[in-house]
Amino acid sequence: MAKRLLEVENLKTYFRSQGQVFRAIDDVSLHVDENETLGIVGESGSGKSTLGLSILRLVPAARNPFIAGRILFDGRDLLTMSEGEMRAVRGSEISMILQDPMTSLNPVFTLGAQIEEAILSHKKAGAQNARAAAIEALRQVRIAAPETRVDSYPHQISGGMRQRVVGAIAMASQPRLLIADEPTTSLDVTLQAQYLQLLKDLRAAHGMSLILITHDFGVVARMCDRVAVMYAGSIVETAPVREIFHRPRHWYTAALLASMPKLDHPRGHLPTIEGAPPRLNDLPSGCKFAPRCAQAQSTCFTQMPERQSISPVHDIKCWYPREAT
Amino acid sequence: MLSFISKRFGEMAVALLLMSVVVFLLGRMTGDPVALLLSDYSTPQDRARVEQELGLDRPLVEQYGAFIVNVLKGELGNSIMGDQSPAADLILERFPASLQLAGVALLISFLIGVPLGVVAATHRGKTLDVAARLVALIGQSVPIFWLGIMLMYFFSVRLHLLPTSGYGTAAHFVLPAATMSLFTIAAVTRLVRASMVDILNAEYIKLARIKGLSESVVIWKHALRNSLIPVLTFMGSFFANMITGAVVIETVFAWPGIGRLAYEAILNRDFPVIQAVVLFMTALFIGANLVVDLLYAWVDPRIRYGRR
Repeated sequence: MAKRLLEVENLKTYFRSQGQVFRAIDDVSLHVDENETLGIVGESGSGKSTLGLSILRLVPAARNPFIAGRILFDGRDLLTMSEGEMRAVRGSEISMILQDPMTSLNPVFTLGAQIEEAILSHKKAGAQNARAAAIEALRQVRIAAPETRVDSYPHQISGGMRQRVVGAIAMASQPRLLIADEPTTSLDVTLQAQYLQLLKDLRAAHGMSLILITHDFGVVARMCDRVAVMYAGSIVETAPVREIFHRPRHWYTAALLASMPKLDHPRGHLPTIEGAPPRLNDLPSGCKFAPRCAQAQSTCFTQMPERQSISPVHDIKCWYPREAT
Repeated sequence: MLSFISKRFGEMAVALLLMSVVVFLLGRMTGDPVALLLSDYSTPQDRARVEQELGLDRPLVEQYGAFIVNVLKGELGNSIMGDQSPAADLILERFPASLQLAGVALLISFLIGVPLGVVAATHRGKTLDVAARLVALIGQSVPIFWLGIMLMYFFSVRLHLLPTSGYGTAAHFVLPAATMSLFTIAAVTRLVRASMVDILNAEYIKLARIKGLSESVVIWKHALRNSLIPVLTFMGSFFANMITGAVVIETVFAWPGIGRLAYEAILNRDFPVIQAVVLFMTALFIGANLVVDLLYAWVDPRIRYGRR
C-alpha cells in the first residue's frame, strides 16, 4: 500500500466578519498518498482555494480566520508547528501554484531572482549555483533559451510562459507535495493541454504528489487518480476517478457530471442544478445539498449525514446514496 | 532613452522660457526699485540717471530681450543692492546651504515616512496604524511657519536645547530640518501605507510566502519595492515643497540659503536677484522631475523609455 503523505482530519476554517461566522471549510477530511494526484472539484466558492491555503497556513489574516483540526504531513501536524517550522515546510516540502499567472510574479524582479530566492530560502548555495539552478528550473518547465530568459522581467514574457515560471518557482526546491489551484483556468485551451502535460510529466519525474484544484471534470479525467467533490465547504464524495465518472453515489456529484456538456449528447437543454449554493454564514442544519437535491427526504433537512465508507476507496456523505449502476 | 532625455530637455527649456516671462513681468508690476535706491533728497535728474544705468528707461520688451540674452550668456545680472555683486554668484554662494537643508529633510522624510507607512499598513486598523495616520494628518495640516516658531519657542527659548537660528553646526540643522520634513513625512507615510495595503493583497505576495520566505523579506523586499513606485512619483513635488518651504523656513531660522536670498531680494525689490533665484528654482524643480522619471525606470522595470 502506498505511503500516506498528507492526511487532513476534520479541518475547519472559519472566517469571522462583523459578528458572523463563515464556514469556508467545514469538517473536511482527506488524504494524499505519495506519488498520487488528488483532484478537488467543486463550484466557485465551495472552499477549494481556502483548503489549499489552509494546508499551507496562508489563509489571509485580514479575514480573521479560525482554523481547527489536524493536517498531518509525513506524520507531523502542520497546525501545531511554529511559524518558523512552517516556513521551512513552505516551498521546500509543500508548494502551491496560484491561479492567475498575470499577477503571480513580482513585476520588479527578474524571473531568475524570483526562482533563486525560492531555492536560497531553503538551502545554502552560492550565487553561481543558485543561478545555474534557476536556469535548470526554467529549462524543466520548457522555457526556450533559459540562459537569457533568466534575466527577463515578468512583463516581457507571455501569460503561458508566466504560468510555467510560476510552476518553476513552486517546484524549485523539489517539494513532495504540490497544490495547483486552478493552474490552467486563465490559459487558453491549447496552452491548458500543454501545461497539464507538463505538470503530469514533472510530477512523475520527481515522484511528487499533487493536489489539483479545479472545477473542470475534463482536467480531472486527464490528470487525477482520485477525486474529492466539494460542496459548500464540505467534501461530499471521495473516490477513484473511474468510479466517480461511472458510478457517482452522491446526488450532487451525479448532478454535476450531468451538467457537463458532452459532444455526443443530442442537442437541447444542458441539465443544470436548480437553485444556488447556500451562504456560508447561513448553512442549513441538515445536508447542505438537501435544498437543491431532487431526492431529499425529511431526514436530509434536519440531520447532517456523517462520512461513511461504501467501499475501502469510496467515501460519501449522504443519507440516501444513489444506487451503484 | 536618449531621445527621451533630449525631449525632456526641450520641454525643460520651454518651461524655463515661460517662467522667465512671468518672473520678469511680475517683478516689474509690483513696485519701483529706483525709489528704494534713491534717498529722499534726490532730484529727478538723479532718478533719470539711475534708471538709465539699470536700463529701466527702455521699453519692457527690450528689457526682457536683454535679460534673456544675458541669461543665455550665463549673466543673470547684478544685484542692485549693496556691493552690486552678480546674482549668479549670490545664488552659488547660498545654494549649498539650501541643498544641505533640503537633502537632510528629504532623507529624514524617507527614513521616517517609509517605515511608518509600512508599519501602518501591516498593522491595519490597530493602534500603530491609527497613531501613524494621526501623525500623518497633523503633519499635513500644520502650517510650517507656525510649526517652525513653536519648535523654536520650546526647544530653544524654553529648554535651551538647540540654537534658535543660524547656520554652522549639526545642532543648527535640527529645527529647520524637522520643520521642513514634517509635511513630507506625513505625505510619504500616507502614500506608502495606501500602496502597501493594496500590494499586500497581491498574488505575488502570496507566492512569495508560498516560497517559504520570511515575513520580513516578503514585506520589506517584495512589497516595499512595489509600494515605492507611487511614492517616487511625488518625489518631484516633495522637492518643490522643500524649495518653496525654504523661503519661509530659511527666513524663520535665519538660514543662509537661496530661500532667504529670495525673501530678501523681494523685500528690496532687487529685480535681477529675484529673477535669477526664481529661474534657478524653476530649473531645479524641472531637473528634479527629470531625475524622478529616470529613477522610475530604475525601480520599475516595466518602464523603459524610448524603446518598446
